[in-house]
Amino acid sequence: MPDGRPDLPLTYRILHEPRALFGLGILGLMLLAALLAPWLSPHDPLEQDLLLSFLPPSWQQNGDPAFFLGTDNLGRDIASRLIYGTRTALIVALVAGTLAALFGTALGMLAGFYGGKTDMLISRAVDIWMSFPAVLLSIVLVAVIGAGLHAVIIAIVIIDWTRFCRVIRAETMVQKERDYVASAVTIGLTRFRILIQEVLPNLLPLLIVLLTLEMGIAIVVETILSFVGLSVASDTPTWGNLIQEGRQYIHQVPWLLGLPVACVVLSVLGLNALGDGIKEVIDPETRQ
Amino acid sequence: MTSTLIVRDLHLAVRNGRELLPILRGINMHLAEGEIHGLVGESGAGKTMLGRVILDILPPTAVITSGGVDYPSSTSSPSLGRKAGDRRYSHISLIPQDPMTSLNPVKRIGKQMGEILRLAHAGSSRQIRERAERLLREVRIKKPDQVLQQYPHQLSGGMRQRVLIAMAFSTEPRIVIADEPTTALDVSVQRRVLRLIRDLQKDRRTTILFVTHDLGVVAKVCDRVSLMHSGMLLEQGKVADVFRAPSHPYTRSLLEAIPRYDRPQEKLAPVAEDLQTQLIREAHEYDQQRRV
Amino acid sequence: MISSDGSEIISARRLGVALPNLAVKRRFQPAPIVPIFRDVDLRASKGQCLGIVGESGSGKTTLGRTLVRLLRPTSGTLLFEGCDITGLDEAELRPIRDRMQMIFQEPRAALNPRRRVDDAVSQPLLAYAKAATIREARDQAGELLRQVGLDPSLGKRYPRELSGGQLQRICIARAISIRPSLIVADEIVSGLDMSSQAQVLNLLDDLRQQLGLCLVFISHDLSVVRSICDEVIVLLDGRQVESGPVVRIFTQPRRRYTQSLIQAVPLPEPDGSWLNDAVDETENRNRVKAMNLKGTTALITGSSRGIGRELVRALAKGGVKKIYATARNVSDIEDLAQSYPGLVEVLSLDITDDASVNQAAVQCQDVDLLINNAGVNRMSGLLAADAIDGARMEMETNYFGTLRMCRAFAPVLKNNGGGCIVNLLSILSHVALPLMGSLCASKAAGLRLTEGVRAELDANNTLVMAVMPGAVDTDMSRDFPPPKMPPAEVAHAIIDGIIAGQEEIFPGEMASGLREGLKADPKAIEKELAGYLPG
Repeated sequence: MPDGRPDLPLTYRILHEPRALFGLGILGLMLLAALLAPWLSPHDPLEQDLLLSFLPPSWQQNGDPAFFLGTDNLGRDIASRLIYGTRTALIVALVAGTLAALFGTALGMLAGFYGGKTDMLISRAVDIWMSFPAVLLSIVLVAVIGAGLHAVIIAIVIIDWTRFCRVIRAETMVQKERDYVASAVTIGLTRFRILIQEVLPNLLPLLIVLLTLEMGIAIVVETILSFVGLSVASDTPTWGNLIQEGRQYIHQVPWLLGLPVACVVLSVLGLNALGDGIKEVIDPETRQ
Repeated sequence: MTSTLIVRDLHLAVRNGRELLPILRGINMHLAEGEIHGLVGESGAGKTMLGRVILDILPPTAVITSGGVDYPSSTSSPSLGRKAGDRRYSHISLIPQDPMTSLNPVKRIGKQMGEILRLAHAGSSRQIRERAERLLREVRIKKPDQVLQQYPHQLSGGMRQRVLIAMAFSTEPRIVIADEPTTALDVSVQRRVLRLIRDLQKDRRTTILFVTHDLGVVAKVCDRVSLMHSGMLLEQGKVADVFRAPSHPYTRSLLEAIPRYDRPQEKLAPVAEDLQTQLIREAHEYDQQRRV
Repeated sequence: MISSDGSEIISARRLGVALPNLAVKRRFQPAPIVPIFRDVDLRASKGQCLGIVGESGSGKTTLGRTLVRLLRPTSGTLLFEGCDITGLDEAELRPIRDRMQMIFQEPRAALNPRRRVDDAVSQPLLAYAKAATIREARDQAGELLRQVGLDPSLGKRYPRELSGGQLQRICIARAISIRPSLIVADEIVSGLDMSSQAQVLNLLDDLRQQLGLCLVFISHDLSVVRSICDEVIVLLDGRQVESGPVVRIFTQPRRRYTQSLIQAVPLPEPDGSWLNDAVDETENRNRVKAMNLKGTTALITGSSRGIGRELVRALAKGGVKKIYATARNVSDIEDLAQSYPGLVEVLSLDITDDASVNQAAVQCQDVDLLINNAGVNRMSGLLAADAIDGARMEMETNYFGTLRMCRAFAPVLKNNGGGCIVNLLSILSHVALPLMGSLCASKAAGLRLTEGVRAELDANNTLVMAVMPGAVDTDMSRDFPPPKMPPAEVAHAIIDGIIAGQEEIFPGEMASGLREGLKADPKAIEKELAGYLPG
């Protein structure tokens, strides 16, 4: 019930929304891990010692406290590899997510707001694009530009921009009918200014949710692409590579697979929660 | 004259964090069998919350701090053990405000009516459908078999409201709460729907609590009326008495604020800001006194 | 109440908007275009308040948006401050947009929820460069908030923190910020509390007087319209049913729909029997044109005897405002003026004479119900000796006379909101009775004439009715064998038809029987009637 009292500041509200807080916590941890990897990691992630391979986590029998989460088949410290892996995860999430969002949102807004031929062209392009099998597209892509992190990012952007485009287009079409747009027309603003100044801010709650969702997806996609060898070279520790390696020894050393999967799950959960939480806080319609 | 609904010195508050915000402040009502009682108040007066208390569908943050509601003539006695749902279908029902959002848009009318009917009546599918058709005919819908097959969006606003009225009366309630049932309707449709409600309740001697902000509707349809502001009952009595000789300044002020097409010369006199502030202040003073 | 200096701000002539109906669109086919409203005529001047009244589906919101060119008219013309803005595109409209503003029904939907109140109010100022900096704009916004009765400190708040009444006043502040000459208010008080409603209405009225605004007020609430509007137009299903000064509309509405709308409004007067009053259940297509007798001024030709005289009686009993009873010789009808003093005015009118007809149109400027009843019957076949002269006479009266009257009075009716034309024909318009073939030919011509006039006057919202009885007991059918209808019965059937808005009526059993027969097998009827040939 609006009672005429001013709202509390935005940061306060975000910090008091439980989901946003959880998400921020996870994201914070990831950032810390990524930035401070050299100092946080107990060992060099690439350092092999075959004598110490397949050590279990330190709290189990035969565990070694020096290798907190154990070692892999080549004696490399899992904990260090996981920490370094956060870097790739974050880079992929942030870069691919943002680029896909930018491209998809721009086209979606144009299609939804201007309608007519613009909409027809963009929608057809999206339909055709989405009918290509994603994995095939990735493989072709890698054949052209070669494997590596840049390939992962480009693959994600090329495939996932359509998700943004369709959803943003639909929401833009809804917002276009709202009275505040009609009101802006009567004030004499140009269509483009209305789109940017009036409609875009109202697309933000949706956009933030989509973006965090996309970031989670990006992390998962990296793990998938590493299965087909399209991700970074197997030496560099990424969660995807760890999963791929761990897959082979699942019966002997289940934690080799389990730990990186847990990292992926936790980061995706965190990102989704962050998106939901922020949307809850900034979306005027859900607040009363 | 049997009473069907008694509200005894009802005080209700809503929990907001650690605070308890008073919403209803000492409401007293005595509704008789067959009475149409108007409940008038502006937004924030508390009439929606009062309706919810009577229907026993309070949000979890609402707390009755004293007083209560009795249903003297009902067979099911309100006791702590029963679930809220039981009370709802046994003797009291609701005609909601917005027919668009109250009906499920993806279910056919027949299915939705069937669900409600099954709560109160046993019977085969065919019997239920016949009952539904009979009810639709009672609310003056011309082709009930067709309507049962349709989806809500295929019906006009007036027809949707009639379906909701049919559903409300289908459980043979003793009390019906009509929450702004005609606010969303055209004025010509409104008149027909009001007549329908009155005709239905006359036959069955149902008590109707008619929640509205439209004093014109109250004047034409209701027997008695209660006016609320800031959770307090300011005036209560027979419609004729209250309209012809209002005792509370708020009532007088409201009557002067309403435009009337038969009195065009009078400039509208909005309810004075001081009066509003004074009423809010009186409400706060009331709260203080109770705490002491 | 208002002082209008006469300069017209907005006017529309036969304005219409048709839009594609996406609800019934079929795949791969363009959506069918349906008219939302059509043939709307209106005008409003500086300082005036024009009300647009209608129920849901009447097209009033679309009309409102068209007036500020949020939509492009698909027919008719729209003039704003003398300029034709009907076909202008966005770029051409932008420079004039600051002169025409709109306030919407839901203030929460019209204000961008992410924008502070003072930024919302000052947005037009910045858009039109009436303020140079944001600080300047916010200051002006503060002043505007004060002007609408709000504390300027509310400028820092966001819409979600304020009540509906406050928000609506903010929208008003925003609308007047750039000093427009026209404001269209679309149901702006419908969602407000009673106390906020009165405040907003008073505010709008005060601003209108202070700033000389031209106000177009759209509402379904007749009481609200009555309180602040000077002129009103009533819409139903996209058609303009009635228009005129607010006082006349409410005290003597010409159309049945307007009357039923007014009666349906519950006034805050305790009255338990109000619900028992007869409810207008008419659903027929011609609801738009159905007349309300109590507001009508009628003119009847040939009122000295027969159906004409009965019509005078019946209309008088029906409570019309005024009747012009006419005949070729005034002496034949003077008794009517005496029987109904103050109600009936008698005139001499010869429908075969151009001058006489034009004179009558000039003299009777307030007519909105024209009954062309005068007619002759020579009772002769087409091959009789004097057939040509007889035919000429019948055509001159029955066809040309009616044509003259329609032409002369169409503009009069249009000025009076469209009105109604009733043409007395006969079931013989549909089939020839050899006894009076000549008459039948002229009645047939009369029927086509009626249909043609109906089409041409549809845009004026004129009800054009063809009355086709069987044999009526009057001088015209004196040689006709019984059974014959009493003329009073025909008169009442005509009045019922006017009230119901019907375009064709067949009073009496003979007429309705013949009509059924003609629908089934016209040739059989023709042959049967041929048996009546004398000799």
